[in-house]
Order: sequence, then C-alpha cells, then structure tokens
Amino acid sequence: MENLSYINNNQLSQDQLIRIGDIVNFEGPLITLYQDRKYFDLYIFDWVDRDETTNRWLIYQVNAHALNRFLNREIPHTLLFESIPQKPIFVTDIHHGHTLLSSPIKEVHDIPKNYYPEETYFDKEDCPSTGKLKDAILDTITSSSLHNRLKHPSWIKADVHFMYTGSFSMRSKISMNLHESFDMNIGSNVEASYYRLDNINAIHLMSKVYTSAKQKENILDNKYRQKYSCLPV
Amino acid sequence: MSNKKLKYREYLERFPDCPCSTKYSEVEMFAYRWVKRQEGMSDFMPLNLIKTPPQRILDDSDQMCKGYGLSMFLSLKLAAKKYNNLTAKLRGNLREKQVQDYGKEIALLNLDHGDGIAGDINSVSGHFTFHEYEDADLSNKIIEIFNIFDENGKFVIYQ
Repeated sequence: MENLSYINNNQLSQDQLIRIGDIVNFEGPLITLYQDRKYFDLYIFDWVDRDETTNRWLIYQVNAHALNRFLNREIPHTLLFESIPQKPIFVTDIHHGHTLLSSPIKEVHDIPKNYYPEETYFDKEDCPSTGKLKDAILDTITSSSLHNRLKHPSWIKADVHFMYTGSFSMRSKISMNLHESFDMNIGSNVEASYYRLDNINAIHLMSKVYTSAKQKENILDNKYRQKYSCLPV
Repeated sequence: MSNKKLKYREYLERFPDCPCSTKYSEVEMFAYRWVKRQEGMSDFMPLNLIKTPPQRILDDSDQMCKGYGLSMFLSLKLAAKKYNNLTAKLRGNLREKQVQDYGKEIALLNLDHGDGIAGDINSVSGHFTFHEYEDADLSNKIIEIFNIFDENGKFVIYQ
C-alpha cells in the first residue's frame, strides 16, 4: 500500500459516526455513507487500497447537495470528492479481523494521486440502500436550512401553532413531548435548543415543520415512524 | 428445503434463520461464477472464510449470513457485465488487484438439487447467493469456461 504522512493528533472519532448505508456494495462495502451524530456532517468512506492483511479507506466530508446530485447521476465521483475542497481528508486502515471501531481514523497531509476517484457515475444497481441514503441527505439539507432559519425569530413564531399539536412518546428510555420541549424553548433560546436536543429524531422532527400545512402532518408522521426503529438506545 | 446439511453450518448457526428459509430453495439450473482456476486455490470458498486478501469489513453487519454463501449469476452476459462495471469503477491500483482476486474467467455450473440452495435472484443484476450442501463439490459441476478478457486485454462482450 501507499505510504502516507499523517497529521499528528488530528483524528476523527469513530464513536461519533453513524453508518447510514452503502453507496456501492458488492460482496462488502466499497463506498459507504456515514453521518456525524452531533453535527450531521456527511462522510464518505471510500475503499482505496489494500494489501494482504489490511483494507484502507479514504474518508472525506461531502456536501449534502452534491451527494444528492451524485445519487441522481448529475455529477461524477470526482466532483463529489471535491464538493468541500478545504476539509481535511482522513484515512483508516482496517486489519483482517477488525472493524472500524478498533481502527483509528487519522488525518493525512496529502493523498497519493491514485487515491483520487475515477470519473465514474453512481449506479443504482450497486446500491442496496438508496432510500436510506436519500432520507439522510434530505434530513441534512433541511436541518442545515432549519439551522439558518432558526436565527429569524419571526419564522419560529409562524409555526408555533403547529409545534403545539405534536406529542409523541418514544421507545425505551427516550421520551419526549414536543409540546413541552418546544413550548419551553421557543420563548427563550431556540438555537440553543437545537443543539441541546442531542437526538437525531428530535431534530428531524423539527426540521420538517416549514413545509405546507397539509404536508406538515404527513412528513412529521412518516418521519416519526421511519426513525422509530433507528432510535439510539 | 431438504434435510441435507449445509456446508459451514457451524458458522451459519450463529445467525437467526440463516440462510433465510423463505428466500432460499434447491434449484436445478445453469449458473455462472467468476473463477481463477489456480492450483491449490478453491474457487468456491465463501468470502467470510477467506483471510487473504482481507474481506472489506466496516462493522459486524458486513460479516453476516450471506458471506458464507457463494456469488453466482443467472447468465453469462450478466456475470460479465457485473465484472466489467465493478472493476471499471475501481481506482487503477485496486483494479489490478481485484482482477487477480476475482479471476479472469467465468465458469458455467450445472447446479442440481443435491448441490445446495439458492437465494432470490436480483432482477437487474442476475446475482444470487448460493449455499452449498456439506457433501457438494462445485468444482465438479463446471461444464464450460469463458474468458472475461480477449487476447488484447479487452472485455469480451457476451450477448
């Protein structure tokens, strides 16, 4: 395998990443989408090298809009790779018998020329989980949009009446009443509550409220059911 | 499914309903598989049991029931197409390695009820997973070999 030069002490924590689904899979993952639990950044794990004992994955953050375009076959892999040019590039070497959890993710100074992607396009046939990927991208785009819109108090007030109508109890130890949590925060610091609710499902629910009145209920209800089985315990 | 025992059942038993009883059944059909036909190397070893090169594993979900089965295709055309599409997407350094790993030939196999059970066939790619019975020897079921590349190293187009 290629020799790499690592940037000391700059690692990405495996614990903060959730595997969303494989973008390309044949007899195992080739390109996989992960998401940061806290900040919802999207990371691509891209298989770039191997030797007799180890597989190497290149890890880079991608723009949600660019990833959506890639999945729609509007841009090739090369442009997806370049969608966030200033971001650090990481690598993990996973040895035989190990998984990502026991394999450090380190930032690299430079990547070898032959680790750059080919000018290839997404093929639905390679992807076992297109629906999950699309959902994650949509959620990321809307969460990001929400984050910006939350800075405008007038927008929050416009949707308050809808917020009050929601009330869900969730599985296991996580229980949340939308009425209470939003009622409590809307008058004070909504942007802080966005981060304080360290729960993907809660934020997904928030992110859906600014569509049309009819759509609101549908999206909220669907998303709730869909995410139910994925709740962190 | 008959009462015959599957190969590698000591591993399969670790997973619930493996292989899935509603999706796998005995078959009598022709099937195609990429092969290397190298001395001393089996072309019918499941991925989960191959140590070199290492299997691509990100988490435990990558080493499930299917990994103890064998990848096969419904037709020669689809077997060649998948090989072509897959290797074309890889970076140059990996493409060469994977061609060595996958082999450069496609074997036509004559599967029958005594060989094992086949899973659902993907309607687009023609791919399916085959779990062998413990007394099966698929190397004896090869009835023809096809080249993936021509003498100039170009992909052979099969219709």
